[in-house]
Amino acid sequence: MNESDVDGAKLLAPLRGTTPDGESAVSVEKAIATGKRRRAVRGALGAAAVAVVTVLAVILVPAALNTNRDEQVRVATAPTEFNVLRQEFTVGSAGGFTPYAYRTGRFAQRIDLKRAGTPDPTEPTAMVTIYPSGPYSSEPDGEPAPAVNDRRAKYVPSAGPRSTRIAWEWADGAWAYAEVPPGPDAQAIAHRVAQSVGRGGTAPARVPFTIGALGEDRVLGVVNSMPASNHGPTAQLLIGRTDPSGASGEMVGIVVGLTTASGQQNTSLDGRPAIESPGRVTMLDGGPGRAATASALISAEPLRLKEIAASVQISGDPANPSTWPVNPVR
Amino acid sequence: MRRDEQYSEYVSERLPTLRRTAYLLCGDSHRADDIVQAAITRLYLHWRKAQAADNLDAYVRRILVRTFLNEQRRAWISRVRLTGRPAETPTPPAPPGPDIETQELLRAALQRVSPRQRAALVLRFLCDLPVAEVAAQLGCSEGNVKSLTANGLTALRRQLGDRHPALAGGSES
Repeated sequence: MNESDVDGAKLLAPLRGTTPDGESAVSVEKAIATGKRRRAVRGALGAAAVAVVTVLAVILVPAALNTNRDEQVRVATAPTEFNVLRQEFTVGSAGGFTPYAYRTGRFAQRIDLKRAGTPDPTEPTAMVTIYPSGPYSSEPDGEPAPAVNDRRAKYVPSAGPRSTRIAWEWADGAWAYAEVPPGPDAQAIAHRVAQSVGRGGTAPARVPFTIGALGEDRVLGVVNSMPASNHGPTAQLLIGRTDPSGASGEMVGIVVGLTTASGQQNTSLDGRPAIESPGRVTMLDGGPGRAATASALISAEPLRLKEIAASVQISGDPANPSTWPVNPVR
Repeated sequence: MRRDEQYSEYVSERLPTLRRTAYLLCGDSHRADDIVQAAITRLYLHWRKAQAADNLDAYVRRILVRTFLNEQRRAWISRVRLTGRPAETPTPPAPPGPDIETQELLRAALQRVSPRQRAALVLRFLCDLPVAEVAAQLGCSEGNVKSLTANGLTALRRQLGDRHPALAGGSES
């Protein structure tokens, strides 16, 4: 062991005795049952693929040889990434759930849903996640499900016991997922939620402030509340230096948003009152009762957090999203 | 069926170790269970190949680590809470004693280190694997593991800051 190894072993030593809380929800029987189902599906798909190839060869080879053929096969294509400043999808209320928050991102757009008529939960009750084509859209293993908006779909086994998921190929080579709590009709409900997802006109994803030059950072996404939210119009900006498209999958994320000014000032930044705590910097002078907060989502240099928080300038009326700036970066 | 019995026997015996490793990697009991469940399902599909491996435990650990990294990449978006309030950074609950406090500080700091660096630190220093074995688990070179480990330790100390000098000080303490 070199010096670095000794340091590492010493630093992490307090975690050596760490064990997970509570009883295990892992089921060996479920793994066997799921494994058998997947194997059976793979076998059936393999046989079906052979049959399909044979049939297609019979039909398409003569057609391909027809030089007078002037029609092209139209294929629905998906982007390889989304615009982080646009909400590219719509989700309706379905299956007893209603959307309350939307998060944009280059490599995923996500909508959180709650049970209709209830307050916004801390964690979503149901969730829709849509991926563009590319590395995050590999076809999932699963069992056949009824088509979603005429696109093929699968019930995807959830690794844990807490949700039922349906996946559908919303465009060629691009998959989306709807996840709902388990229950007797969970598969049908998941299907209804999936059916409610549409790709109409896109809406801007805005925040009621701007931030200073990003440097090596970039905007990774915007989180907006939706009309059914009981928190009124709110928004957060997600920024980072790398994003998950990197081969390493490593990323640094900072969340910026406005909050109600509360808490005791414990520092000053450029002469302005602020609260600094681990992974979080709050500027207290954002206007009457208002503060700007920068929080570390994964890890961030404390100095960078301060820079970001101090650069926030409120723009537009926080209560009126139509007045928010189109571009959050000055 | 004999195959299922062998699989069941092996996995049942290794479950506590798999859960602990997954928990150290992801820092959440429920997610750890999800990762283990997905990993052992995958193991079932490849059980014959796994049995033929030189080191079955290493083979299974590799499935577990890759399941964690894949889940981490694909589900990173899920870790952002869409509550309409910028209060994403979890604050550890008030610790009842100094040992628990140290563990909580360290665990929270470790979760802020990037996934691959975290995996390198956990495999190296908490699973006591040699560099070559960690490289095989992560699918990278030994030099890359050393780099991940060094950068991971730096990031971990930065996260700890001056909140726990005895921990953050490393060899100086």
